[in-house]
Amino acid sequence: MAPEYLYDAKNQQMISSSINSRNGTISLLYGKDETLSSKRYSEGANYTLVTWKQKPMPGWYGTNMNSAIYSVETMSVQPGTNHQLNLRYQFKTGPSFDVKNTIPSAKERINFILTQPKAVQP
Amino acid sequence: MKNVSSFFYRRIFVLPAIIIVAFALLQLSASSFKNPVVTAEIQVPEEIKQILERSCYDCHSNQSQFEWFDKIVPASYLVAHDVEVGRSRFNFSEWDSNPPAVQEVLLWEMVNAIEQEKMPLERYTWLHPDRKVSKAELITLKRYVNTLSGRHKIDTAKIKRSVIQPVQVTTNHPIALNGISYTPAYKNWKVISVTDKYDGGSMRVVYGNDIMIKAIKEKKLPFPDGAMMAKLVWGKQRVDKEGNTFPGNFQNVQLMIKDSKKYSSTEGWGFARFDGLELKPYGKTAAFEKNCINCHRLLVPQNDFVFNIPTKPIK
Ligand code: HEC
Repeated sequence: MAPEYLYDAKNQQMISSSINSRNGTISLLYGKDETLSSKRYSEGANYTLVTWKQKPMPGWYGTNMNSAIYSVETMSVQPGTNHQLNLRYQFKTGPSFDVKNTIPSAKERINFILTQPKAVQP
Repeated sequence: MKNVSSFFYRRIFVLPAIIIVAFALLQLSASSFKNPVVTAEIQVPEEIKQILERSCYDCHSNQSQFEWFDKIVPASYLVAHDVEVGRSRFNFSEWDSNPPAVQEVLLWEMVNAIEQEKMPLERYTWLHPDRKVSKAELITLKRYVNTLSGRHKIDTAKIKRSVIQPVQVTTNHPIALNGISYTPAYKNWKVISVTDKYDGGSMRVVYGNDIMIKAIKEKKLPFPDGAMMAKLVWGKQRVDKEGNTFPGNFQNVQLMIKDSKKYSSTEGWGFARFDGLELKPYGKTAAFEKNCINCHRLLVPQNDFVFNIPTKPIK
């Protein structure tokens, strides 16, 4: 077993997952529960986007699953001056991030976090 | 002295004679497996059919062709048992008894059973070494399953977000036929794996409760009683221009609950599945859980019968 592949999102809940076949990665977007029902870009919102490298599932040819963590991106929306909101974004590399990989542009990633629809959970 | 030796000689010939006669009589009692009629044979390309016929048909079809040595008691009893069980799991001669989606899953399961050298059964290939599936044939089979329709299924339907509440709003959760109740508690559990199940065109997120997470962290197998998992399954939307695939419609939620006493007949795991936003319990009879454990038992016994735990890649 490989417990090092687990990510503890603490008090945040899963918003949605995504697969990127081009990069061979798989991701989960987490957010704090208060922000899940309201607008993504609102005061006090907190998000974590965890990305893992994919690997074939041992035991079942026909499924790819997460292996080592590739990156952990965090984003928060805080009150700023003049009733403006302040957006903080950070990209942290994980054990499977290779030096040859490029860090994506923050603007693109923020957009990815803000626009990703919520997965339907009953 | 003479008397003793004649008695001895009589013994030495009579005993084997009795054994031979008994053995011959036993053969008459042989439980010979019969070949029922072929109602709907599987339709696959010829090169695939040839592999299945040679290596699998003896136990998974109504066209079993065993050798003379398979028909000798007591071997014939073992053979008859394997044929009976093999046919009950799936039967290439009654292939339409399963809906198309299940047929596809079975074909993928076959590829996995061969890859892990679980099939054909070892006790069978030991006597019939020519029935083994070669590496090249396995590649052919893999190429074939990748052409099945589920492999490229895209969920293009508009995403349904909620069910219209029935007039009588109940707070009771749906209950599967084996007594396992749906629980929304998983939303506060931790995610243990995220998967792209490309064989059937779905993507999944698997949650584990505290007991499950603790066992994974301590690398403790078998999982302790009280361990629970919830797997959420969605269709896959079309890949966008950045290469991303997002979840489509919600398909089902599947639970696995560990209780070694209560679920002792299914290796200690209780299974349940709830379909669609209505969370309709899956299965026509409580025996549905046999289908779950049969596959888990065959392919992941080393992981306490769980597929979705974080594991190192196989080198
Ligand atoms: C000698 C008889 C025999 C042959 C030959 C044989 N099988 Fe089986 N098969 C069985 C039996 C018996 C079982 C049930 C085994 C068990 O659950 O322990 C089984 C179970 C299976 C299962 C699991 C089905 C389920 O219930 O989930 C798969 C998949 C399978 N066989 C595939 C194959 C394939 C593919 C071949 C040919 C390459 C093959 N078998 C050849 C006897 C056989």
